Amino acid sequence: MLSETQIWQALEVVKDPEIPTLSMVDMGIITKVEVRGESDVFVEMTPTFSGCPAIKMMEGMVAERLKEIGIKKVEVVTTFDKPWNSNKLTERGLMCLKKHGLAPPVKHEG
Amino acid sequence: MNHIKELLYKMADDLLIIGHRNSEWTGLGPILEEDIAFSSMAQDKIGQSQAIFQLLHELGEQEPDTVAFTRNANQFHNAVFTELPNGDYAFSTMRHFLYDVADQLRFEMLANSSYEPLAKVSRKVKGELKYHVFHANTWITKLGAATEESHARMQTALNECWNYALGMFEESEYEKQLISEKIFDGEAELQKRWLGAISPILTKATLTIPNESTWQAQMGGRKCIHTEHLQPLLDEMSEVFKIDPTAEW
Repeated sequence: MLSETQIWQALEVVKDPEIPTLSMVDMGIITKVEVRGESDVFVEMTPTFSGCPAIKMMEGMVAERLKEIGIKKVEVVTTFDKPWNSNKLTERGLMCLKKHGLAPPVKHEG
Repeated sequence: MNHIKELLYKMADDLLIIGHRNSEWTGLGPILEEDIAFSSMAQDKIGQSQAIFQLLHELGEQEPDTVAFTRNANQFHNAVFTELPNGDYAFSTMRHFLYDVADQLRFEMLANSSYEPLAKVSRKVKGELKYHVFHANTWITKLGAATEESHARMQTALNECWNYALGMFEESEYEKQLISEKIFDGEAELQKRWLGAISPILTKATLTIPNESTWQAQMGGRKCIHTEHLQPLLDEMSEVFKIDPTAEW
């Protein structure tokens, strides 16, 4: 059975559709990974903004990637439980943004 | 549950209809930057409506697409204000200001709602609306106090919008229940906060709120009574969907 860490690692190759140098993990939009059983994984995501037109597409990309590494049952759910803000970008995410030519946001107090 | 559904329907319908109206400006804005900003906010609103339709779906209503695209005008709960044609840019900008300030305050209030699924969505949406209101405030103060013509047109727009804007606060038959269950503090409280928020901006813009003795809220929208403008909007909005509602996109 794959560990949650291994699932997170597998998801690192799934890129943000708008900024292809940045993974969805580093963007901070994947908020939870749960291994529910042998070949059964649950992933929770949150959109950067509620009008994001790529939500369904991103859910599909995550599911496809996990199937690629052999997970049979994948459930991907999008929620606003932990709303996204730019503080959720990882350190590596901030560096990727800079490399892509975008000014990385500074940490803010909300 | 009917009280929560009614609240969600009016919010989602407001967002969908004004989002659609504002999107009609795409490609027609006065400068590219403003065209993109206005279109982008219209997109936000439609996305926000989708999030609320999703909450309704979780309460047993049909899929968001079905609810958005298959109802007729007499099943919509949006305030009449949101369905009025765009008019000139002054009217659209004034409506954007009056509506968005109210909506931001509504979502701020609902961020503390005892109905947790709505509170969660509201905490996300209120952050987005902060930028919409910032945009609206900027244009209102700029155009209100710029030239004689811009001032006159903004004042006319405010006068035209006013009674319709008051109609946004039409009370629901479930008002008391929503308040006592701490789901929503109610339309009267929202209207009070809204007046408090728009007044200083309008003063700065040298614009005058119509005299209170003339106020006559244009209600009916919350009870699905609409102007002749809504159905053509819905027909256009749902035209593609209705060609084949079962299509897999």
